[in-house]
Amino acid sequence: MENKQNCYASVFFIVASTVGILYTRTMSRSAAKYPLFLLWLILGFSIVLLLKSVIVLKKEKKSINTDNTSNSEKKLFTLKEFGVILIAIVYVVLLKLFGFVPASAVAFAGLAVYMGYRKWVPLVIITTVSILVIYFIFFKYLNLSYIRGIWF
Amino acid sequence: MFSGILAGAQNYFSVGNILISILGVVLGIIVGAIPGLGPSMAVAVLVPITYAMSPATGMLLLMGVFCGAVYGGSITAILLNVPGTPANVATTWDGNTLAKKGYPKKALSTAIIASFFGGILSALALLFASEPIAKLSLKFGPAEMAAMAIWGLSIICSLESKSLLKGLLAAAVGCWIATIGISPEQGTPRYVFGVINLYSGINYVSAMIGIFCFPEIVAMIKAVSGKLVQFSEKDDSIFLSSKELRHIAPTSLLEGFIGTVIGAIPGAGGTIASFISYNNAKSRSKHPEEFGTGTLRGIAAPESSNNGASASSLIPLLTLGIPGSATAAVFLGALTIHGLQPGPLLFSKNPDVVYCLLIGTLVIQVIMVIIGLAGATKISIVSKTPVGILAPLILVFSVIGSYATNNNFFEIGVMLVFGLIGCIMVKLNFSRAAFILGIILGPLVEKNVTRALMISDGEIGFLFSGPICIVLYSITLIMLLWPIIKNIISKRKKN
Repeated sequence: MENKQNCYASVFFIVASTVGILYTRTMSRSAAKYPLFLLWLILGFSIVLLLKSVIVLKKEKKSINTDNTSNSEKKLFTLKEFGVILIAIVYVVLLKLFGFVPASAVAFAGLAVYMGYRKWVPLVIITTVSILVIYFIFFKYLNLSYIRGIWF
Repeated sequence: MFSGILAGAQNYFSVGNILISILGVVLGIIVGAIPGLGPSMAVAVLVPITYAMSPATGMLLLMGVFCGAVYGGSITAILLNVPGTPANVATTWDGNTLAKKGYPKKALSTAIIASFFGGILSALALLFASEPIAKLSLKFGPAEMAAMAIWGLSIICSLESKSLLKGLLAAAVGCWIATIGISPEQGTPRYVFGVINLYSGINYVSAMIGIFCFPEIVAMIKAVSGKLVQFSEKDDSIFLSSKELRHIAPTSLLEGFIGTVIGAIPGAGGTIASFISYNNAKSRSKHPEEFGTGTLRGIAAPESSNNGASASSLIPLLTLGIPGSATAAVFLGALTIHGLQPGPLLFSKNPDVVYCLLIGTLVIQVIMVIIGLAGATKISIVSKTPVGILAPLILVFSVIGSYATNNNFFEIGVMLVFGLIGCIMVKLNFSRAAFILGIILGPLVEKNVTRALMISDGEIGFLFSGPICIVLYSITLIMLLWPIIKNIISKRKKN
């Protein structure tokens, strides 16, 4: 399983580094020196990783009987993990639209429920207290900057 | 000097100063534990509060916050696998592993005791050896700094013994990502694609928060019974046995010394020191395979080193007026506000204030170890907190920390993007540590190699000349080859 993933990853890096090398050549020589050196390194490492993974995969093919891995192990992210990522993306969008306090309150409660926390009264209390404590300590008392929204 | 020390001690030992030191340490630990906020931010935020205080008291508060914040980062590193600062990345490898095995209190107390050793050495160096260390730090030119950064990068070979190729690939990608922005030689933009926020490059703090915090939040969805770890309180204790103390003491002292020296070098800092010390401790160990499995030395080495680097980073500032780190630069501002001029005359013109600060730094280490040990019992409860509460809290603090780096919404986007990259890296078994090392140390290598070549008119031999370069490259080579040599020797012994 890991070797297959290594193959995919190394193909990605080979393509990315090749595109990078072609793009970097359009830059001025002095600016391009160090990034080009790194991109060639990445290309080299990726090719070696690909070759290594292919060789190991071929050896493994002879000894593997059936692939018993479940569907969830074959995918990069499970549906649940994808849900967490989606919540984080929505949180960032809400931050931009409504500011820190409302967005954080919604994201806090939403993620807690998604993670399986179902005690509603404690959840409301913890969400409210946490956001208020963070707001007053970090933004009011310590004067850290925060993303302002419609109200505050 | 001794009359100055006496005057400083007389000045320090008052109820007000001791209480301020305690307050500083507590505030520092709280802020340092939040990923992205860190010592420099913590100190910067509190500088205005010191306006109303006397110079000595104000400096003591800031020093307490500084030392506390450096230790504070290890708390989340150990309990949540989320380093509070880049200098705590190495602590996650053994600290979090030990916590997950059911010994969070032991891991926390190892970190605080090791930090104590490192901090004491650093404070003693600040008090007694400032001048010689400052002179040594001045000998570090661009060639020496490049050699040190390469030494730091070489630890990837030791860390990624199982998949060295993937580690090197991750580090190379990290180094390349750090080239985004303005080139140091000509000021030409690279890979910015017209995005204004990319001209200043990728902020490694936001990247670090994303790479380490986000995958932990995502992984929490799989937590059994909704808690991070189930452990038996019977086994775990904040008190280390005398055997365990004897086990970590030599490592803490040696790595604390290394951290003290590295911290005094302008531009080096606790991050490089912690990685170098971890690698050093692993190389010297009779059982290097134990590193990464929750060994106490794996926690002690980086923690004593990063704390050792903290106070000593003020040596160039106090003795020469050169701020060698972001936190030292903030201290420079604070000293100036209080009418103190850092530099060679500071010790003779204001001995009562300076020596009060230096004595205070020593006492702050003691305060920190007491608060740390007392707090470890309570803090370890974090591991028992339901993930439904922990995950959103980490997410919110990640946003606060990444936004605070530049007061720019773009940094939150950077945090999110690197968070996704971090999740993919975890799934594909690529080293996040090597990646972050590349992002942090890559620019150091490029900047200093470029400067060295400019100074020497393109002569590459200049990079390898000078006794310090020779020593650093020799150490790098030995560390790279040592695993191979050790392997050959052990095979010959078997035969």
